[in-house]
Amino acid sequence: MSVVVKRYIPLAITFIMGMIMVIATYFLAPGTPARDATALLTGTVDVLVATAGVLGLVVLLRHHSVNISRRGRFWQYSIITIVGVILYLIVGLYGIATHETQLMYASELFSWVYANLYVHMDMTIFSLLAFFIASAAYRAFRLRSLEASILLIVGSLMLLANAPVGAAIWEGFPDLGAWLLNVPNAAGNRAITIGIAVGAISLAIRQLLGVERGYLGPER
Amino acid sequence: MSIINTGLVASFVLLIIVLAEILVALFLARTGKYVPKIRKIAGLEAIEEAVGRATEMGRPITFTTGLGGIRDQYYYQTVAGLSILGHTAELAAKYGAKLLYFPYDPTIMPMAHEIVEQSYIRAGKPEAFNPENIQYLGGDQFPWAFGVLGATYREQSAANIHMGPFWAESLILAEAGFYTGAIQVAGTANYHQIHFFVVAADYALIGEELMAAGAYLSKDPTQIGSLWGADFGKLTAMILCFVGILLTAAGVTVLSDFFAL
Repeated sequence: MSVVVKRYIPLAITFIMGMIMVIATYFLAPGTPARDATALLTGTVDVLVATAGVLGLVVLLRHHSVNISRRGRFWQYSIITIVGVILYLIVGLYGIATHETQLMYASELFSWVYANLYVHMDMTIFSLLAFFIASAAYRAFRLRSLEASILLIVGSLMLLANAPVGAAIWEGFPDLGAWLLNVPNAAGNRAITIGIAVGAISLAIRQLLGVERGYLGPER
Repeated sequence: MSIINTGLVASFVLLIIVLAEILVALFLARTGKYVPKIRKIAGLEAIEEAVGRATEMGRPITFTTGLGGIRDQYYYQTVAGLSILGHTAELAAKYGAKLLYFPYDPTIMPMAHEIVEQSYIRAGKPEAFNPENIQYLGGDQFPWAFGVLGATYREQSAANIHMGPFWAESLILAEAGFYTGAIQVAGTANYHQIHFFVVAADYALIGEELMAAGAYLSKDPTQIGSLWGADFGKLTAMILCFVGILLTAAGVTVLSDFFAL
C-alpha cells in the first residue's frame, strides 16, 4: 500500500476533522444549523463503532474457535466463551425478532439475563478489588523510605478520619482528614491536572500538524 | 454579540496562548535554532529492560492501552499508549519476545494490528508477527479486566505494560502482574488511578509523561521542541495562579471575572 494511503490521507483526515471540531466548539453557537451539522459528523463515529463491534465479535469467535480446534491451552474456557456470546446474541436477536421491543431497548429476557447473570459476575470481579487494595496497601505502607513513611502516616490518618472509630478516638480526625484531602492533596492533584491538560494540548497540536505519527505505526 | 461561544472566551484565550508557545518552540526546534534536552523518563527507559527480561525468561509481555477508544474524551491517552505499543512491539520483534496485546475498544483493533505489524516489519522480522497475539476480550470494563488478569496468570507474563486511561481495573491488572513476578511499567493521565500504579507497578508514568511518550520515543527534535513549548504553557498557568491569588487577596476580581467568562 502506498505511503499516500497509509500516511498522508489519515494525517489529512486528522487535521480536517480536528479543525472542524475546534471551530465548532468555539465559534458555532449551539442550536445553529452549522453546529448541528458538525454534531451529525461526530455521529458518524457510531457507524464506525458499530462496524468495529462486529469486527470485535468476529475476532473473538475466530480466536476461540481456533483454540478449540487446535486443542490449545485451556480450550475448555473457549467453549464457555463462545456459548456465552452466542446465547446472549440469540437472546438479543429474539427480542428484536418478536417485536417485543424497539432496537434501542432491551427485551425483558435480555434484561433478565443482564440483571441476574451478568451484573452478578461483574460485581464479583469488582469485589476482588478490595483484596487487591489490601495486598497493595500492605506493600506500599512498609516503612522502607521517607516517602513510604509519609504515605503510611497520611494513609492511617485518612483511615481514622473516615472510619467511625476515628471520631470516637478523637473528634478532630474527620476535620484533619478533610484538611489533608482539600489542601495538600488538592494542590498535588491540581498540579498534575494542569500538567495533563497542557500535555494533552501539546499532543493534540502535534497530531493535528502531523508531527506526531506514532499512532499510525512506526515509519519504515 | 460575541464571536466566541458564551462561557468559552477564557478557555479560547488560554488555548491561543498555549498554542502560540508550543508553535514557537516547535518552530525553533524544527529549524535547529534551539533543540531542548529533555530529562530521562525512567518508565519509558524501563520498557527495553522489561522486554529484555521477558525474552530471557522465555515468557510473554502483556500490553494494554486501558479502557479507551478513539471516540471518547480520553482518546489522547489511548493514542499515546498506541505510540508506546509500536515501540514495545519493535523491541519485542528485535529480541524475539512474544507480545500479547488486549484492546478494550474494537475501534482500535485495526490500528493496533497495523502498528504491531509495521513494527515487526521495521525490526526486519515480518514473519514473527502473529495476529492471534492481538486478542479482543470484550468491550466492558470488568470482563475485559478479568480477561487480561486471566491471560496474565495463564501465560505467566514476565512483563506487564499498561499505558492509557484506566479506572477501577488498574489495581486488578497491576496486582495480577505482581503475583506473576512481572516487571511492570504503567502510566495513566486519570489522576484518580495514578496512585494505584505508583504503588503497585515498578515504574509509573504520571500524567503528562504519558502524553510525552510519543515525542520522547521518537527522538525527533521537532516533537521534543513541542514538549518544551508545553512547559511554557505550564509556566503560564503557574503565573496566572500566582497573580490570581495576589489579586484576589487584594480584592481585585479582574482575573477571576475573566475566567468566569
